Amino acid sequence: MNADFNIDSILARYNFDSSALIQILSDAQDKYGYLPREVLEDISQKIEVPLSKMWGVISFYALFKLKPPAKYNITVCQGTACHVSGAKRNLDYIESKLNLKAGEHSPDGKYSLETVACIGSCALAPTIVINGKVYGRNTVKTIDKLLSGLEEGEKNE
Amino acid sequence: MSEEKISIIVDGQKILCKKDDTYLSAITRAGIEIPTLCHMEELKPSGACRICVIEVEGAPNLVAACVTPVRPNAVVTTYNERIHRARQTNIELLLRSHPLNCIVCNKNGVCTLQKLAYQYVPKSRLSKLEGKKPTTDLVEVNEFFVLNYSACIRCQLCVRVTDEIQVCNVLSMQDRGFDIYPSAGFGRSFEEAGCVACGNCVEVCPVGALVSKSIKTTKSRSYELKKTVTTCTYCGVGCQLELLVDPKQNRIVDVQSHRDSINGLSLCVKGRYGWEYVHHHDRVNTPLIKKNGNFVEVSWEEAFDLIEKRFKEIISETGPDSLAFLTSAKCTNEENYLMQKLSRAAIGTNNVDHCARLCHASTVTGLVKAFGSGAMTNSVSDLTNNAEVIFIIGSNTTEAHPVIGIKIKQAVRKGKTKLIVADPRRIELADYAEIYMSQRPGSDVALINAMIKYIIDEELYDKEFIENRTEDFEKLKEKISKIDFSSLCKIANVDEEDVKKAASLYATAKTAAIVYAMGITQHTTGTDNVLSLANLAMLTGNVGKPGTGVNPLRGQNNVQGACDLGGLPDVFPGYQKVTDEKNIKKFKEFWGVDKLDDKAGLTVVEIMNEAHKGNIRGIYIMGENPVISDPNINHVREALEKVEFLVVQDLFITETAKYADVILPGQSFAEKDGTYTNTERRVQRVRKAIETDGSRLPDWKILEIMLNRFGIEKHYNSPSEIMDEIAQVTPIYGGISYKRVENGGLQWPCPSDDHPGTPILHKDKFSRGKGKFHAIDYLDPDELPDDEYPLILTTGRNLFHFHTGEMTRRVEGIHQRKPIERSEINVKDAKRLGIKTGDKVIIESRRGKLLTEVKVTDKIKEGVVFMTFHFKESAANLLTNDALDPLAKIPELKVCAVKVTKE
Repeated sequence: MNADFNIDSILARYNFDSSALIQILSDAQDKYGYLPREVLEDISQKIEVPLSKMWGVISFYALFKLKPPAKYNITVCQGTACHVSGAKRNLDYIESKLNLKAGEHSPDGKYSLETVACIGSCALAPTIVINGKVYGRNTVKTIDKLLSGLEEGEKNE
Repeated sequence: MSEEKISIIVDGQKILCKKDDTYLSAITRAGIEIPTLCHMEELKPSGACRICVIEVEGAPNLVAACVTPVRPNAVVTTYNERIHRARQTNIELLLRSHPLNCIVCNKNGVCTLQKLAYQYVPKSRLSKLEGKKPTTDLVEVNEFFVLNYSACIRCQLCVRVTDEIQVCNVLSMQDRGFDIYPSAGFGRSFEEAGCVACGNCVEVCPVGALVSKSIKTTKSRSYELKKTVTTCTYCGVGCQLELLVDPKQNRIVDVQSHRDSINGLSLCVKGRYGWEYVHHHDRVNTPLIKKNGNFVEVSWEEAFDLIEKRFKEIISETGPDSLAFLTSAKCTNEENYLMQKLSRAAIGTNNVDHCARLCHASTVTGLVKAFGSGAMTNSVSDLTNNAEVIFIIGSNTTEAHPVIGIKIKQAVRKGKTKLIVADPRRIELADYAEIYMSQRPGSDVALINAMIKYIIDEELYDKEFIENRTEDFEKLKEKISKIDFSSLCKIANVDEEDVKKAASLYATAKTAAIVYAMGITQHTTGTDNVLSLANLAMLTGNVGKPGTGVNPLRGQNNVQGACDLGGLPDVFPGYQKVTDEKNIKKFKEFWGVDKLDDKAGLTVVEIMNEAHKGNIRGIYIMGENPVISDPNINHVREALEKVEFLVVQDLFITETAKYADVILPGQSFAEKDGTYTNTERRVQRVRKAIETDGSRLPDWKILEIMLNRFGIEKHYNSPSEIMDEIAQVTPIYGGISYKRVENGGLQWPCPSDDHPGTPILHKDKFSRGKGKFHAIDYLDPDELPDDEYPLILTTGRNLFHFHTGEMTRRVEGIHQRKPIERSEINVKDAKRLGIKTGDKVIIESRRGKLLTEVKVTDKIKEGVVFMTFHFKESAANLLTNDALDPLAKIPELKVCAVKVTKE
């Protein structure tokens, strides 16, 4: 077990209670950015929830990630308001631009792309979320700017 | 009863309910049918399918009967237009996401969804329904079954069975919405997730999603298969199976559990998938005689003539005691009875024994001395329902007796039972234990004496029980007072605190049972080990009550029966001593012979030793394979080479049969009728399911002919008549007949036709009168590690294989899963020797050496190596020690000194 993956402080928050599984997983994901297999095995043993049962929960909620996050996680909202104002076009454009399908990670680990049913910011439709920050009223043009901004940032690093 | 007071009105009829009833349980008990897809009596209700909806007056919506507790005086309708429509809608929704390719589905005709669709959906709609496009998208394909996920109706029965029944937690439902399906998760195969291939999930699947591979080859529809209820032929649990036979091919194609039995829903991989050997092309079809070193097919007549001639020559030259008979723990009670009758009445020798000598001889000896009867005192269901504490020592229950193992796991899971496990290996049940102790192999007396000492010192013993029911307690107390607790723990190499905790948990529980197997018995101190466990049980008053007792788990399907029916050199059937004048007279009259041998005969290992010396000149072996199963194989091989005339009756040309002069083809359990007696003394039926190939005869018929050839003119029309003869002369089987054991069997002692059988022994009185304490000293094993052979070898079983592997290794799926021996060695030892998992190593003892693959693990104690004895290529018994327990004559298969070197 990697010493970095010590989960006990999170488990202690919930008294090692298996009924708090979802909160525990959520806290663990906040800590590591995703849910590493070693962490899950450790949780499984310590709160006595079989790995298969945890899998049922993890695969049910879109929230939980089993892969390390890409540097830039791009989420394209597909809710009703976004849909009618061009979400599909935006998604197609990002997919072709990054050569990536929704749900995929780019091989260099830089980008991940996903869709979400509604983020609740309908007034700003169509929206895109990049690493938790919401960008509104997107068109192909604004997207170009956003993506080249990310590339710029890369160069300056 | 007071709890029967609640009543409800169902379809205008008053029904009494229990307090914790659901509508479904109460209504179906009253004989009214409610359809379900996701419900099963053995499982907790889940309410997933909504097919069981009913109308309850006052409830705004229809309610799912399976999950709704009964309300007193509720008025319920189980079927009307509204209910029909609701069920129809749900079924149609399922049909739309289910492939409608019933014509190629194995479940066609027995599929619950198909049946309900036909019943609830109008034919005009059904014919127009478009189902899901069938895919061959298999989520799981393993050696035994496939999961075709496109056919899954998401009832989750499989998930719940792995969780609640098998307690292996392999499955959960993956994803959400329409795409949900059962999965092991994380991209794992079932095996990687811990699947033990019991196939219980396959059995409960209501549609064709989970299907046994074997059934895919059948040419008959599932409803055309012939079903035969019979007893499993592997371990001593005695699970009831339903063999499904394709009548067009005369082949077994699948196995289901017979739920109304001791195993309930559960079977293990051997029971469900281990039958392929029955149809294996290696089976012997006709009698064979060795001519010029080769086996030649001959007629039965020729084979019998030769056996008669040679045996009679030997008898006339050196007397009947130069012959010996090995009867079989795999054969039926009736066959065992005839075999010992052949030996005793027809030939005239008591040299008859079988492999019980190698497994539980010390149990029989020890428990007879302490209690007066050498069998499991309680019943399996009793252990798992009534024991507050189970102390498991020297039994890897989940692998050697899988169905008892999972019942113990269920009991622990439900919080009913606490476990104490003592085993040199960290076996699966250790994970379920309150206290796990890893004693050094061969130190059991020290460990148990330490527990006894603590219980006596702390005065945790049952004074009343000791006073009223036992004798010689003072002798034990005096002996124990002289021994030091700490040094006992040191000998056993266990933590003192653990021993104290275990002793106090065991002693203070209201009901505590001991379960043990070969880890206790296969020692030169086997009888001492058993006596010590008997001491422990009597000391705490844990005998003769539900949920208590001393419970040896018998290893083979009918090892109990083979012992019961006189397959031992010192007793007639029913443990009646051969040295007792009265018994001799009784059997002489009954069998119609002038003379019976009045001295005890030779035991298995002694037979081989005497054969080695040339004193045993002829041996008749039925269904045994001593060349793999007996200790010190090289010695056995030499002995069999020296035997002048060897007859082997078996299914295959086993390693032992290779030495035979005559091989007689036997029949497997699926081809003949009979009874087996399981570990809890339950006599259960074995029923013929298929016609035999070739000119094989049922083993009882072969023995009948042999009896006739040697002057016993008795003819049996069926095994049932043999059982009637057994009942006349064997008091403990006095009330057993085929008619009475037809459903569910009977547990002996069952002395008369109206006796209900005996689930718990020694209830008010021990079989011998008073229970007897024995003061036992710890003795070292015969062979201890030294500089030359620094490690201890201990042997055992694997879940997938059985005994000498002649049957399971001829099952394709099992062979693929476990093709070779993988011996276990501790991480630290491996590091020292430079060995890693997958390496080939040479293991050597004073008696032989072998080559084997090795698995490095921390689940075994440092200094100990573990091997199974299933594989003839690396036969563990080349190494084992044939030193004997002085009383029980059981060899020390569990401890010998070895050295390990990398190849």
